[in-house]
Amino acid sequence: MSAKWQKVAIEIPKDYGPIERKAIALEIVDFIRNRTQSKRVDKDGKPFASYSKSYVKSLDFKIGGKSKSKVDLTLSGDMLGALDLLSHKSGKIIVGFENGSQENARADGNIRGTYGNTKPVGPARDFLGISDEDLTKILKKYPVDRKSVSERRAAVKVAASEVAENPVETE
Amino acid sequence: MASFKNVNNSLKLALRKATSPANMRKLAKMASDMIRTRTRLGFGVKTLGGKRQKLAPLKPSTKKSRKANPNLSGLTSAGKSNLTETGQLLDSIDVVSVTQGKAVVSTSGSRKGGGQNKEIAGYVSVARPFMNISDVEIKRIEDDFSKIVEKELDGELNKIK
Repeated sequence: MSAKWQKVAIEIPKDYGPIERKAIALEIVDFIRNRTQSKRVDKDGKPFASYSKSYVKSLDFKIGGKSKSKVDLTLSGDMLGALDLLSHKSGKIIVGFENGSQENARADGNIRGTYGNTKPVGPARDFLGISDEDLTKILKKYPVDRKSVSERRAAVKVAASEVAENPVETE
Repeated sequence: MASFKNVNNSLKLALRKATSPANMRKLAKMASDMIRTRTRLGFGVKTLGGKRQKLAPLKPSTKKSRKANPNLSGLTSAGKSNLTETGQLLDSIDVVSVTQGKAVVSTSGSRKGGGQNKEIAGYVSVARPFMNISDVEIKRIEDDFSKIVEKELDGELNKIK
């Protein structure tokens, strides 16, 4: 059964140009990952529901080196690793998962509590989003009234992400 | 005001620092851990940048012999296809060489009971390719590498303000 496409639109001031929007998106994606994996809370700041007993006893749980006291939505790391900027335009950025991907399906299962089923079968663990307060903290690093600071910061961030592309080859 | 030459030199220096052997080792260790965990979870990758896919299932006869094996690793089960019997093959995945700008990940070493892990890896990869990095795994490495580059770039550019 097909999963719901998981993405979230985030409104930002229209003052930002394309490079700044990309940089802000990278920061938001990073923030969501860290909040999920390190703070282990959802988009509203609430701790994630505990893992089920059956999952804790499973072989995958052991292989993943997981701990039942640390609900961080990370087994291989691919789901949170796949979170990315999907699109952006003046005043808006959209982050989420590639539609139809395995990672989108896993994200959907967590977000809606469906875990591969059509209806919820477990607790929802909605990590996809950012509070106004947290967004404001990120946007402060890109001050709209000090364009040179904002643009420099954004240029460095985006340049670094482009330089880092394709680092792997087979021998 | 920074000249083009100064900025250019700073960029080159930042990139050199970002691709130091120490940083290359860190990224390669990440890659080797990813391959190991992903394969143990039962997934392989056919080509570089490809999607991860479930490894081909085990034959009934193989499952039967694994069930009778008292030395089967705790990270597998009789019926699980995850290239794990004793655990030696996947445990051997490691960073095998590191230089400026490059690190190599491979299986290595000899096995208890004889043979080399590299030989076994070559043999099992025919039906169950695993020593590749998937599209999402590449993205994860890129994300970590970009943070390293950003830190070095920021540092070098700050020096020429």
